[in-house]
Amino acid sequence: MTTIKCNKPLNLPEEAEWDSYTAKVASSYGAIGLPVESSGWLRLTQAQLTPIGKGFFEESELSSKISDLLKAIRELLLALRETPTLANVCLRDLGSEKYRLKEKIEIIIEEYHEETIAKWPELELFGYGISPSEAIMNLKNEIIDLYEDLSSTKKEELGKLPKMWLSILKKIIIKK
Amino acid sequence: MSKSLFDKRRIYEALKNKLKIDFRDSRELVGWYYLDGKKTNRFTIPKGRGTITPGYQKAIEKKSRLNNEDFERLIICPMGGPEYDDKMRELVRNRLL
Repeated sequence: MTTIKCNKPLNLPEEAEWDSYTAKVASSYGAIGLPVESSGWLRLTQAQLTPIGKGFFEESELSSKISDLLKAIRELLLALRETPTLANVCLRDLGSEKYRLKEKIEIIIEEYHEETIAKWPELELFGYGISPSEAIMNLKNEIIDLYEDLSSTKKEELGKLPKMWLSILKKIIIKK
Repeated sequence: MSKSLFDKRRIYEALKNKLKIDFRDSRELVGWYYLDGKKTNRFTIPKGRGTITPGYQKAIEKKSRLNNEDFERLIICPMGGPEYDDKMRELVRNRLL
């Protein structure tokens, strides 16, 4: 005799409803008429259990299905490692003795499995680090570097986007 | 999303040789891609050897304005500088660059 536990759903508190639920479950496994105990246990013999497994997969087919599943799990894990968790953070300071921020900058923190990227998408800037604080520090350095680079370039040498970046930076960064 | 991660040196060599980017040695390697004599894309590559991390490669990929497939073509080989220039000019025509 094998005992199968039918999980009692929380949204079916009444005994009458529970009976009808377990009957439905039993019915779906081809076990209509089996006595369902009030605790929610179904008692089945091995012969009665057979129809449950039958019709799903043959044994040889099963190993290939498992191998497919393992492959899919590996791919999912790989994708998961490359999918970051995101957070929005505000920069209030550049950590520089030369420059300060006129207003705060909203940046994005992307945390991957073993690295963190701090991004200012509008200026296509990013800072890399093992931790968020390291990534933010590197992004701050990148902001200063881009500002100094663009400021020292002749206007006619700047493409459309770099021109726009410089205009944004000039509005936000002030020399101390 | 990137399927293969490249060696930092390989990315550096491809961008330097194909896009004629002159990298300067700072905290990282920083260089500008010039299109028709104008600074257009700014690239940052980590120093050192070894494989680049997924997040960093994705960030470079986005800066290059290429999709994953084209970025791989640029780094691995088939895409040369002129083809990249044409793609950027197309973005300029579409007011995306």
